[in-house]
Amino acid sequence: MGLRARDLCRYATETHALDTQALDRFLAGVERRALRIAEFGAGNREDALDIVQDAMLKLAERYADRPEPEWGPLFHRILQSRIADFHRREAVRRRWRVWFRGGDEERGDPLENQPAPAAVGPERRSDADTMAETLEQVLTDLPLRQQQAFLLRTWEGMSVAETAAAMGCSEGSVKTHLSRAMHVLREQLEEHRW
Amino acid sequence: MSNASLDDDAQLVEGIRRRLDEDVAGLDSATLSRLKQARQMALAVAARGQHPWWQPSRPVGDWLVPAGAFASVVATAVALTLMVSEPGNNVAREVDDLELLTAGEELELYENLEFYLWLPDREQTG
Repeated sequence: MGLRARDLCRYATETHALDTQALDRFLAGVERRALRIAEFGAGNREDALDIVQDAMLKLAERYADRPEPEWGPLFHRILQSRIADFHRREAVRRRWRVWFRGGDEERGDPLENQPAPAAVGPERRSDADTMAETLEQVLTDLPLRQQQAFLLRTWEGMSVAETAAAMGCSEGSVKTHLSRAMHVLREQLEEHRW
Repeated sequence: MSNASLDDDAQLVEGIRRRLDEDVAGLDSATLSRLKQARQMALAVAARGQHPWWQPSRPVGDWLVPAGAFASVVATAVALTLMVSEPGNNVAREVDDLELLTAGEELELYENLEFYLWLPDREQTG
């Protein structure tokens, strides 16, 4: 027995409504960690918020009708791509600045000039605050690919294959970046008695 | 790597994860409000149901000019990088920049193709 047009229309509407609710739950579930991942990548919260918003819009525009289990890998693929785009633009800007100014004052890490995302007030900081600040700095200072590999593998809990897909590189590269990131983190955090 | 080292790494990773979880749990209300706004905008876009996933949002020809311009910028930036880089700079970051500059991930088609090539492998493995 065939469905009437009215039934089909109602079915389509209900399905779409369900998908929208599921998308809302998905985005609400990933948005905070996505913000921090973008913030470590961009070095400041304003740009991180723009990056996350862009990734959400792209997922909604292009992939909302994809099966729900695919949203996670797709969202992180988009997010990492946007973070890499941000770095690419910053790198190009940096090259041009070096080229036109002779480069003496611009040779350092551009993120050093960005305001710290979690600026600490004048009040006395606790040990926990100091440790959080140290971790923030060490993670922010990691080269982007190492940072991405570490956060996706250990914080997002993605597999090597999923991380490779999100980063747009081979599984071997993920392992190499992660190993280097772990080496740096071990060294830097041990120095601060982590 | 020894078992002790693996245990140390596991402890270190667990400590970092705990810190990061605490960090996101304590995000300020202004930031949470911005995230909520972004989510609502995304949901509005999804509700409009703009583009079927198998149809590109723009004709392929529209990508040619921006892709060409992007390639030129990348080529120029790489050339400048090679010209102005000096020994003693932060080598890891320089290499990282070069990798990012040459990755060319701006092309949406490439982004999608790679994902769809990856999906069947993922299904087979798990």
